Order: sequence, then structure tokens, then C-alpha cells
Amino acid sequence: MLTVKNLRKEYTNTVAIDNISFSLQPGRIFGLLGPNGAGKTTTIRIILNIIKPTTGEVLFDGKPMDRSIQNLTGYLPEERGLYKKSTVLDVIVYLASLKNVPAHKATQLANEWLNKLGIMEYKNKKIEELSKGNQQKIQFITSVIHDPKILILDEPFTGFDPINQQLIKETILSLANAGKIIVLSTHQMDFAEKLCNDIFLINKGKEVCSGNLSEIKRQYGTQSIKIEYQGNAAFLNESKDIAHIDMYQNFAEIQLNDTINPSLFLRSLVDKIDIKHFSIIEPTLNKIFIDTINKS
Amino acid sequence: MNKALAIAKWEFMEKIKSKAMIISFFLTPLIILGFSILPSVFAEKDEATTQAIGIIDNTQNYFTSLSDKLSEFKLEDKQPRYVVINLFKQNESLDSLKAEANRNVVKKKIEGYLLLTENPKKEMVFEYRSLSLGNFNDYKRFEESFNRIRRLREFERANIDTALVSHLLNNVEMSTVKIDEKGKESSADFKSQYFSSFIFIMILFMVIMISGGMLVRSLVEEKSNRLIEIIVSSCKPDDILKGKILGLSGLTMAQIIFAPRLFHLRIRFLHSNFCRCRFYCYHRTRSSTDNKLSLDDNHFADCYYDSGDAKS
Repeated sequence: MLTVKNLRKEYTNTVAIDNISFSLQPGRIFGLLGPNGAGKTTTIRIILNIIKPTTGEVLFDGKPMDRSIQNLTGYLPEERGLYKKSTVLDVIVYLASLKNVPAHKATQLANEWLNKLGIMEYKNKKIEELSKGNQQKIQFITSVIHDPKILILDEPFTGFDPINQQLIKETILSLANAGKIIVLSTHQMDFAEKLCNDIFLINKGKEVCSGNLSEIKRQYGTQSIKIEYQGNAAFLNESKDIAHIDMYQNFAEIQLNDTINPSLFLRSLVDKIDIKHFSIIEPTLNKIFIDTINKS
Repeated sequence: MNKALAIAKWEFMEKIKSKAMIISFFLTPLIILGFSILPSVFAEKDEATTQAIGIIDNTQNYFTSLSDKLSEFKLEDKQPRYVVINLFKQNESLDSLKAEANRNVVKKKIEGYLLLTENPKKEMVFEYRSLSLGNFNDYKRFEESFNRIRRLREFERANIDTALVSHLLNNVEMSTVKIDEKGKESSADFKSQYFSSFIFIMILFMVIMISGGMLVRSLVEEKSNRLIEIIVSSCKPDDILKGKILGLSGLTMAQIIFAPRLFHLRIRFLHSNFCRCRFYCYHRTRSSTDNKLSLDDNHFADCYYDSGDAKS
């Protein structure tokens, strides 16, 4: 288990992260979410021991995350780059050797991963001869080739076409199923929503929301309803019970005010329009993200 | 340390395969050769034809002796190396003599001229004036010849036995014997000490200069493509720096060792110069031990400037 305790990082005139704490379980994907400049990358760098926190600590299985654990971590940074003049295989084997993987084993693993991601034919090509997407795949391979226990992926889907996004998504899920601790930092909420078991929403260096994603959705979703109807529903636009409404031809998505009970609201509708369908809907992660950040 | 070695190996192998490195493999020895040999080649390259040298002897004491002495120097084809012209004229000021001599130099009627004067303290002033002042051999000959004449003349004037003086002026050469830690004597002499130091300093200089530049370029590349974050998350900064210094220094060493032949040529070149100096000393010493003491040291000139016959 990876535990982050009371982490704080100060620069000269800025507090990059302010007293954040969370824990990550093996086999689960942890979404580290937040707007630009929220402190995600700083948090990741502290976890990886690239920079030291001002206060607080990061523990892996109860031990401090020091240099002895660096072979157990894999990191895919947001801003990518590789040795452009070197061949694909050489780069993979070199970066694996920095994680103490012997050359022959690294070559074997590189072949497996290149095959898995469908880029075996580029094995002996120079990096600069590859497309951006294929370079991304190489970088992804370098972060997982040493079979890390902790995998930190910063915007792993950027630059991929939908087919390759799907491929990477499936690969990440298989790694989670293999018991890895995965930290996923992304702005693509649809992927985070599909992949993450837990999320940690950070803004201006402070925690604004965290926990199990399903629970958070339930927590945020009780006031959102969807109705299908027949009749004139124009009166809904003037209802004081509704915080926000999206009207369509025969259905509407409604966000009720916090004090309104959805069942009582349904009763108030049946006399006015013919209700064909009524359901309480969970808000999307995107909506939770926007609402929470705006509130904070 | 394993990671430092992995980084060193990567830096070495990746850089050695690059086109720039392959080109510099050939350029570096040429640069070393150029910087170390060419200046001395040009400085010591003798003219192959007779040169006209003027003398303005304002003291009126040395012209004949100096002229005779300089006429003893020969070219390879046994023709005189210098033709001496007396530029001194009675009743003309030194300034006008110099002005006229300068004009002759500019018009290339003469290669240059020697000016012998006395300063207000009655001390000798000896100058060589020419358009081209790049040949050390000419200077050495002029200076050596003049000083020898002057010294012997002063001793004669002081009624000192010139034969004895000539004997005393001969240097006794000191040889060196290296004793190793087991007490064994070896024939390592000044030459090997000097040239091994010279080569070591050259290698050190090149390694520091070239590998320093490559280290900076390598770090800038990794910083700009963000690979440094992955590397720093994989190993200690100490290992990164050690590995890079080790790999890039090794690369530069390989680059320099690639040119041992050129270094060998350099050593042979300097060695040949060294030999002729030694031959001169040796010859003088042997002459003195044979009690062949004489003011006429024609043999000195012949031997000193005929290094090709040194061994014979």
C-alpha cells in the first residue's frame, strides 16, 4: 500500500501542495485529478522522490519512499521525449537497465511489449523515424517493462488515436488486475471515469474531494433525475424546485435543488404531464469535476 | 554503481555511433597534430637557399669575425647559408643607416640585418631586424655566433687562457637513471619522462575540454526532452553524473588513443630535434676530453646543424 501523509510543498512565494493525504491500494487505479496548476505533478514528483516535500511523508508498505524503492516505480511523464537518434530497442533496454533489469531480460521483455502494442516492426528503427503515437507507446513500454509495483501515468492517453487509446486503456486495466498500484493523472474525465476506482480531486494544492468513485457519484447524484414524458413541460423552466434543467424533445435532465425530495417532485409532475420514464441519474465525473472545482 | 556504469556505457556507445563523433575521430588527431607540431615545424624550417644578411656594426669591432663565423654555415648542397653584407658607412648617422637598411629589407634586397650598438651604459645591444621573424634556427645561429666571438674576445683581453676557457665552457652532460621500487635501475631518461608528461597533459587537456562539452550537451538534451525526470526517478543524481563523466571521458580517451600513430610521429619529430642538441653536447665533451682545445670550432657548426648524421 502506498500512503501519502500530510504532504506539503512550499516554494519561495507559493504553496504548491498543502497538507494532502491519501492512500492507494494494490490492484486499484487511483485518479489524481485537478485543473492545470493544481499540484498534481508536484505530488507525483514527491511520490517518485524526484523532489523532497517541505513536510509530510510518502510510505510504501509502511517504509519511506527512498532510493531503495525506485526500482519498484514506473513513471510516464506528461511531457514526453526520448533519445531521437537511438533505436527503439536500445532506448528500452537502456531505461530498463536503470531499473536493474539485465540486458538480455530487457530485450526479451521489450520484444513482448512491442508485440503486445503492435509495433514490433519498429524495433530497430530510430525513435525519430516513428510517429508521435508510436513514440508514446515506446515511452509507455519504458514505464512498465520492469514490472513496477507502483505505476504513475501522467496523461497517458494524450496523442493517441481512439484505437490506441482503447489499447492503452485495456493495458492499464490488465496491469491493475495484476495487482499494481496505478496513479492516473488526466484531464480526460471520460477515461478517468471508466478506469479509476478511487479519485483524489485537488485544486490550488488542496484536497477538494476524494474517495471511492462510485460512492462519490452516488453522493453527488441523488439530486439529478431524468424524465421522459408526453405533454407540455414548459412549466418546468419556471419551477423553483429545479436548480438546472436540460430540455429535449420528449425528455429532460434535471438537477433538483438540495432541499427537494425526488419522489415528491415526481408526484408534483404526474398531474401536469404524462410521465413515461423516471430515473435518478449519477452525474458524470466531468460534471462532478466542474461543479467541485467551481465551488472550491 | 551499476547504474552509473549503465549510464556510462550508454553515453559511450550512443555517442561513438554518431556521425559527428566518427568525423571528430579523424579531426581530433589532426587538430592535436596541428596545434602541437605545426608551430615548431614552421619555426624551425630552414630556408633552402642562401640568404643575404646585412650587418650594421656601429661598434666597428665585430663585423669581420661575425661575417667569417656566419659564412661557415652551409646549406645541404654545401653552398653558404648566409651572404653577409656590410651596411656600415663612416660619416653616416645610425638612424640613416637603419633607414637605408630598412628600405633594403622592404625591397627584399636583403633578408634582414644585424644591428650591433652600445647603449649609453656601454652595454652591447644586438638586434636582428627582418620582415619575417619566425625562424628560430636563424636566431640561434646569430646569437650563438656573436656571443661566442664576444666571450672569447673578452677573455683574451683579460689575458685569460682562451684554451682553458673554451674547455670550461664545454658542458658535461648529466644522464638520468630511474630506480624503481625494487631498486632496479632502468634506462628511463629525460626524453621518456618529458614526452610521457607531455602526452599525459595533452590527453588530460583534450579529455577535459571535449568531455566537458559533451556532458553539458547531454544534460541539456535530457532536460529539454524531459527524460531527466525518468532517469532521476530511477537512480541517484550522483550516479547520473558519475556515469556521464565516466562514459564521456572514456569516449574522449578512445578518440585520442585512436591516433597513437600520429602521436608517435610527433614524438619522433621532437626526438630528432632533441638528438641533435645532445649530439652537439656530446661532441663538445668528447673534444675536450681529447684535449683538442681550439678556438676554431668549425666542427661545432657542422655537427650542430647536421642532425641527419647524428648517429654516424
